[in-house]
Amino acid sequence: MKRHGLTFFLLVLSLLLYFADLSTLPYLNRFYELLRHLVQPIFRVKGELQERTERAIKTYVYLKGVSEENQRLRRELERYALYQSQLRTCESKLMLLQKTLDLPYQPGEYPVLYAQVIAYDPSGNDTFFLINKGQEAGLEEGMIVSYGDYLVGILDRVYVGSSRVRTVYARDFSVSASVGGKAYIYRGGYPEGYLLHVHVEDDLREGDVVLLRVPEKNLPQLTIGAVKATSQEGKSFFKKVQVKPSADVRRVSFCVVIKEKL
Amino acid sequence: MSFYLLAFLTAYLQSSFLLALFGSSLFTPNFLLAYLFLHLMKEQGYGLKKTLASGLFLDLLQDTPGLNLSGYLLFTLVLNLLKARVEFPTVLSMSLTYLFLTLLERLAVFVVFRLKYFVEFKPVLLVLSLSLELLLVVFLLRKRG
Repeated sequence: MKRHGLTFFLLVLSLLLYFADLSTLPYLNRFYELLRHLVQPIFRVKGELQERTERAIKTYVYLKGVSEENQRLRRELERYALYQSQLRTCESKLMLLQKTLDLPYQPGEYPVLYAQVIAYDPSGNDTFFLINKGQEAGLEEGMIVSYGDYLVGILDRVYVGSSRVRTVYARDFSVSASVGGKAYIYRGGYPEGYLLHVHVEDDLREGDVVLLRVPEKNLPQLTIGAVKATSQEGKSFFKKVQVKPSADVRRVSFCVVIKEKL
Repeated sequence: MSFYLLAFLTAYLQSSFLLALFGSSLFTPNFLLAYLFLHLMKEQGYGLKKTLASGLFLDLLQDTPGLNLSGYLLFTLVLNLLKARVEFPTVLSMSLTYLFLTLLERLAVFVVFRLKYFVEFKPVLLVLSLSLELLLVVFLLRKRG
């Protein structure tokens, strides 16, 4: 019974030691510091071991993340490979149809170039960015710049070792676009661009995809953006159509230049 | 003497390697407590010195004066009260007793810590660390026979 009482007393004392920070009191602090001083070398080794273990865990977590990302990308690549083979089948069928119907179709083989973005528009309006490829790489003004299946812009100035890309957000950027098979003119703007000369009776709705239109050339139909809003102003024949560009210029760190002029 | 040496080494492993693995001392597997339990179950005495030494080692190495010590003292107090009234003839009964006592000790330490500082409760880590402790206890009890 005495021992239980003593244990309980010590328990209360240890709680007091914890809550009241008694170890900071002059005498107890000295005792505690002496104890700590005695085990100082062990403390150092302990700290090192703790740090190394933590570092090993962080490295493991990081590598695990990288490995998972790698696997995901591999799966994606496999899917694209399958998609490519499907496209090849479509192309051969189209060629067969072309021969039968005598259609003027030429399969698209676009020479492309990968370029890194080296500078962005300081105004914050994303109207242009610079890439690290220029005349040396055979680039010319008017070539299309894409990222994924989005149209990012067009080369408007080509220097020796770099080029300036006029993006879909620039006010002086305009290209031929199509929505639901109908042709319009897309004019850039920040944060939204516009479709010009859209008749009041044209049924354009929010979310409709706006594609790049190159009628004379066999170029890929890149996505410019999606219709964000439509509105009618007064008794005009045309309505105002706002387009949200799909490409996020600030996230583009590298891009693809299709070596074909618009 | 071998108890104190092994207890110190266990406390050292617990507060360096295991603490880094589990992130918080509140959810680290308390192998020192398991070791103390096995010793207290084996011997006839009260084991207050061993409890004090174990708690002090851990408090010293984790720099939490009084926190672990109070948990260990509560553990010993309840264990001795149980030992005086109940017999533990099988491995299962001893394992269940340990599970009950370690849960009690953890709850007490967690509450005491929460009264002073805020810490997030992580049930997954707690279950994992308790399972590891219990596995060690069962393994050592079976080995001892």
